[in-house]
Amino acid sequence: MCGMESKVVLTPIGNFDIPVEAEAISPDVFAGKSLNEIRELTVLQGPQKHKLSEFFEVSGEAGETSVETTIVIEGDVDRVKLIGYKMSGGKIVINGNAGMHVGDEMSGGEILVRGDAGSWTGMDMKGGTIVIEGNAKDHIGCTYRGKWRGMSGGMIHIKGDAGNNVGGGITGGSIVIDGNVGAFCGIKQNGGLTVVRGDAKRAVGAEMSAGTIVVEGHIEWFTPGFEFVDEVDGLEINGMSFEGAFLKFRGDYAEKSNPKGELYVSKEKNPEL
Amino acid sequence: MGNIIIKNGYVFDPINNINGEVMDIFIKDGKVVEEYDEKDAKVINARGKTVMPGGVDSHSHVAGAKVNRGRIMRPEDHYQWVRAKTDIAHSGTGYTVPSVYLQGYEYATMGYTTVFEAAMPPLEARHTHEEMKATPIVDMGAYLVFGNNWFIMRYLREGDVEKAAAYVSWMLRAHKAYGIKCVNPAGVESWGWAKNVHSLDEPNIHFEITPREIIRGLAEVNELLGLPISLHLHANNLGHPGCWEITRESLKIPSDLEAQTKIEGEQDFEKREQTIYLAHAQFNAFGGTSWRDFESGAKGIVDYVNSADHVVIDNGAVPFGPATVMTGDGPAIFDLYKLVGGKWSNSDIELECGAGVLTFTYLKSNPVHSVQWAIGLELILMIKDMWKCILTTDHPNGGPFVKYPSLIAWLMSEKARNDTLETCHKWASEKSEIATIDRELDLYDVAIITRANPAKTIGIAYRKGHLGVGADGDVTIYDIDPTTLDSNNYTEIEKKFRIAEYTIKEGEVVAHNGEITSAPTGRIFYTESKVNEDIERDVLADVREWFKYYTLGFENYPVDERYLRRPTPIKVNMEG
Repeated sequence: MCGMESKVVLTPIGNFDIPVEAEAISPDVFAGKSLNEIRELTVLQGPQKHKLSEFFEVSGEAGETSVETTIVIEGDVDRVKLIGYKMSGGKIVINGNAGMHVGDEMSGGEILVRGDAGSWTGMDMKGGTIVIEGNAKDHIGCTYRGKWRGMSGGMIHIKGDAGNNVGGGITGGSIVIDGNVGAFCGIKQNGGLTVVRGDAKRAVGAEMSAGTIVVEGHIEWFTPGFEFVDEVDGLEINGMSFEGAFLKFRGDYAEKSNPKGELYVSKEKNPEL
Repeated sequence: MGNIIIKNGYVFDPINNINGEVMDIFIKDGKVVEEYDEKDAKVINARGKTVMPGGVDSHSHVAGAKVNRGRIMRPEDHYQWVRAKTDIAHSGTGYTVPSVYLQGYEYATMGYTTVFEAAMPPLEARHTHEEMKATPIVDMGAYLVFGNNWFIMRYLREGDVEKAAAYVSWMLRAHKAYGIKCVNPAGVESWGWAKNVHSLDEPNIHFEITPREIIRGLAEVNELLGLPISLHLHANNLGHPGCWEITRESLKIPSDLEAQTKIEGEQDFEKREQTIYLAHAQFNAFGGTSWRDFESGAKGIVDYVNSADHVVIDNGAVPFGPATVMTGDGPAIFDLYKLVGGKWSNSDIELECGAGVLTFTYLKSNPVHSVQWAIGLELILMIKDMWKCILTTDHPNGGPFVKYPSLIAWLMSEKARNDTLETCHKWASEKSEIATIDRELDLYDVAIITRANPAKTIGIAYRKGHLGVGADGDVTIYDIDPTTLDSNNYTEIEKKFRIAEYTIKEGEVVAHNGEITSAPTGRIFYTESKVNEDIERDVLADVREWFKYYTLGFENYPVDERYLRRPTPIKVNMEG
């Protein structure tokens, strides 16, 4: 990284009654552009094309390259989709709630959401970091509907709770949920690491064939296709350490005859297993 | 329908033996005519550009139940391949299985104006016609699937070709279909009991009829009725190592028949000579005995095709990348599914046929896929007479039709092939002859395999695939100067064939540099034939009797013209 970091501030002012698709809000797109050029960027509201400036007040200055560019959004943008789409570097800070598809297919850089995030955060991401300080909805780090191979690298950290289908189809990278998750966490997982610090509902690791899932809380309904392997005391995975006794399972045998998926579940929180 | 004059272009019109001559093409009221006054027409100056008849795709899966199954099971195929709505064009999505609107626009963008759906199950005819009705711009038609039809198997088992012909005649009329498609003859019926047939003389379950008897019978029916297209065959054992042999033996079956095309009112045109048209030959030209010693079996097919005059093939090439594999050959799809996994669907169609669908990706790193890529190209480059082959990908089985330009580039450029050989698995060069072929097709050859020959093969060359007086005013102008064309610059070739400068349909510009400029409604061609009325009455009595096995009433079976857009019946065999 070289040069000065420059900051562009976006303040929501528009009417977001119909969700706005703003792939343009990305350090890669902003880099090297003047404020006026940034204001002229196209966003979609329904089928209609609009200028970015119709929805945001734009101030500050963009850097020469994406890594030198930080975008700060001052306010809630929960009806704005695709912020940080395909970004390869730089930083986006959202001082509020984010909408759906934040950081889809991003390959580098950093996104920080101070509030909650919508569904599909980090879909098919390849690298970089997404941190959500609040809660997140469904399909966090999950691949698109119908697809079986998704996120391949990078890191998503949700400090609150997340909904259903966390980490669906991931092949690499890691997802950490500090709170609880809904159903189908790690469905079709084929690599990478999914960590749930809280509780999970059901079908954890369903159809997984490789990769690792760690659940530190309680699983309400355990997935039937997993077989007990071993009991381990403390874990060390990808530089993360987990304390206490874990039950190690392998699966999902409902998906494959020789699956490589590893599921670690807290022994203490799951006495019925 | 419009008036257009295309001036000064280099014209490639193989049916009329025109090879790059600078000519003017006059279109009036949608038809090619003799010269007329410029002031009555829109004039396009095509100086320094390539002018060809509108593209004709004689084998593509673009409408009907299994195509739609593919769309439904592949949302991931749709969300990144989109076309926005304009004032005159709908929006559309989908790469290997595009939505109906997008299909029409993408074909037009690429310079194609006629597309035939390769397999319409009779029970799904209504659905197929509804989708074709919604497909903009292109003229269409569909081949009806007969190879495992109970009535056909019954009549042919009894040796009653006349009754089989009367049944086919009625079915084509009832379902507004164009010709006879035969998929894995005898095998799909056995698939209903989780079995298949593996040789030409192996009888199937219950009907105890062999693939050889069905192919022979349907080919005889075809020529008895004098249909525009010959029997269109998807041979047995498709997709299995070593299948080239059964394919060659299948091609031999109708070698002694004479091609009969008896279209009322159309005498003097380039008629088909073949009595068998082999579909997607690549999938039926596998060599070796297992996946371990897999190799190209193209030579065996090519040697036979080069020595025979009653065969035309389309290559069904594999351009690498995503595909959706779909066919009426349910067992072939199931075998592939067991091999590679993916999302699989299978269905049985009552007394008629079946279908399977599977998601698939052809990878350059995969040895078998690399050989398949080579086979697809061998099947054109090794055939001496271009009038025996047609360029397809068996869309979307080998890959989507939008990849035709890549195939054209590989066929026109040895450098393109060599560059790909360097990046794909070494089996492509070790287990096929592709690396030793230095042939490069020219624009005339390309015009044969993408418009003239498909039109001739399906018996529609009186109006499609050429630019002679009386032809439909379907013209494509590519921004290619034949005098400076460099086959080494293959990315340019690919680019120019991907987006035609002008696509003209019945004298109207429908696409210009990738943009849809008008979206007229295309025709639906189907065949009406006459047979002996007494025989037809007997056959219909048989059909009514066995209709108790169908899940719908007989009255709801035929598809009437309301389901067709611009219905265009082709009358054949009117003496009966």
